[in-house]
Amino acid sequence: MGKRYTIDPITRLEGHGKIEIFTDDEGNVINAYFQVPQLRGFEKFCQGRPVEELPRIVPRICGVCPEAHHLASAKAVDAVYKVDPPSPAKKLRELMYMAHYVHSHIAHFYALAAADFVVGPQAPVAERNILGVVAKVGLETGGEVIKQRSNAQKVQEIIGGKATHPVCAIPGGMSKALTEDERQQIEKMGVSAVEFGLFGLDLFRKVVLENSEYVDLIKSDMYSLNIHNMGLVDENNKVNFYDGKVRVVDTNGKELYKYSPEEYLDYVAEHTEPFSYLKYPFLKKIGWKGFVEGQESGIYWATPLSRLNAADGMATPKAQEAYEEFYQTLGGKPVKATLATHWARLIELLYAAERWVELARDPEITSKEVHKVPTETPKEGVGIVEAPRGTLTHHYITDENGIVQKVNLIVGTTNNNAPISLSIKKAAQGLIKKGTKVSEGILNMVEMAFRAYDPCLSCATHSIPGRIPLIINLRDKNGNILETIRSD
Amino acid sequence: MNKTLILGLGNPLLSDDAIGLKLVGKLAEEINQPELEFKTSEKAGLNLIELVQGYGQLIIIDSVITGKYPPGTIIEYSPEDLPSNLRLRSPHDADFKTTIELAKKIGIKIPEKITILGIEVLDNLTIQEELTPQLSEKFSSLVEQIKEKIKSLIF
Repeated sequence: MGKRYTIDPITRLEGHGKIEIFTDDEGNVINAYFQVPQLRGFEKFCQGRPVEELPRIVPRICGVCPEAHHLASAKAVDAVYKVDPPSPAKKLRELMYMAHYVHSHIAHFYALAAADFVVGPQAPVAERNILGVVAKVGLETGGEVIKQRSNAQKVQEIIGGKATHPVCAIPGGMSKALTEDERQQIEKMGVSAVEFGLFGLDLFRKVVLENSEYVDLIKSDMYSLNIHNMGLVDENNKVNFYDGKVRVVDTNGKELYKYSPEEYLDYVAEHTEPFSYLKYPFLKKIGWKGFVEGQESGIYWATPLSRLNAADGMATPKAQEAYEEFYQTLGGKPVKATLATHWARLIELLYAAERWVELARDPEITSKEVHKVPTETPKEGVGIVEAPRGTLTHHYITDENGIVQKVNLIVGTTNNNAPISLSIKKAAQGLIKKGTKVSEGILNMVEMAFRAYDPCLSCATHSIPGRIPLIINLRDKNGNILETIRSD
Repeated sequence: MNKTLILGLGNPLLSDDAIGLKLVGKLAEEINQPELEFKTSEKAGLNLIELVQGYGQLIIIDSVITGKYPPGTIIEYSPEDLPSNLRLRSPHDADFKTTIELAKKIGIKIPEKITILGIEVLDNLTIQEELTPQLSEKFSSLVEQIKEKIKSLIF
């Protein structure tokens, strides 16, 4: 008799995701799916509005990565109007975005990821949080997390124009230039962010890499995935978050494709399943081969790890050193260890901080030339940025007056929908076998596979709690619950 | 500073999810007392520390779906008994209870008395600026009820 485990947020409501794990007659895991409901009405909400309003609307869909949506949208609108913003405007946008990355990656590592390693993957849930982390590594780290996040927020406010969500990018550039006073403040905070970025990598070395148990866990088969890698790269094939081409590197580390944003529909298609509102993007030229790994599968991931795999290196010196150490330690490219995504995220955090300082010191950054007036007739445009959680695509079609007719979004986490299901399945298969007592610690270790992606579904769906309160229901083949295990 | 902060949370584009923002917006227009301050925010998690630090008392107004009460019901929580589906439990961040404890530990002045008023809602998945009709018709009554509640909490 086959069984079904449901890992489900406690508040089993519309709007929340769940993980379903199915077992065979022997009690071994045969399949696992991650399911989420979808927001309704986004396209309808946008249709009929002037396209230049979208960069101000899309960031408000969710408070988690407003800057990513703002910039992908602004780039799409630039493309709709066929206008190329002046260089200082692009640099200002990127500077704001670097602060956003620092803000976002710090929260994920220190508030969510670190506890699994610093406190321990099977530690009691009450201790597995940022309080447990600061109890072990020192209170001053907690203070530094708050300070660095606050600094990054200030930079976003100075450039972005509003505390809650940015309104600065307009078709053809930015609405205002940076003053010298502001530049100095931003530079100073950036220098401090670089120090904190280095601290994070040191912490990772001490806590994780010097513990052979954790290194084994990271390298274990149940936490690895052999799929293709996506990421935005600059003209030197270095990681870039704001601009460039999308590069896809295969399971052997070879470049498969490199394409411009407007070509994305030639390379990415979306598979649907009846049980999921959220689609499953895949590489179109390979095709959808089901939920399988390997060179022949069309599944790719778009995460901090895949971005490192898809590039030839980092464009800043300290991040480049960290990049080299990463591949030396984990045995060359591409790295397939899902949990190494946390390390990759810390390397990206350092890169973002270094790039922040670089841009703050760029002579062009205080130039008043931050806007070019669009003169072409609007039609269609695609904007792509790397959101902290994956490649973010905005695609707009308008009439000749710039009124929105059609909108398509592929958001960061949606790219990772199929990989997340695969990762959960592999972790569950490795951890839950015939006769396994499914404890709260085991559940957390399944959740770790999911957490590595820092999944955010707020813009595809609404508020799935990240530290998922879990329920596993052990069911018979008729769906009747035999046993319930809660972890909250 | 011994002021009380009334903080409305929510998402302005997700229908009933905006109830906290709309209520606090209205209260700010109607109440003029020097000891009360009003703020709204679309953020959650660690971001809330900066918003609430320094105040003597904090009253948060947010949407909640428990499925147990009619839409428009006000449910009072303390930070200790927060349900997981309030905005206060951020997906990418520390949850509210943890955030508050962390702030206290590192010496940030956090309001001593914290009350969370959850408003039971119907729909937080449809992208629209309007509330559902069921909640909309209770809006004026909610404003009055919350005014009374604030009076009872701060005196």
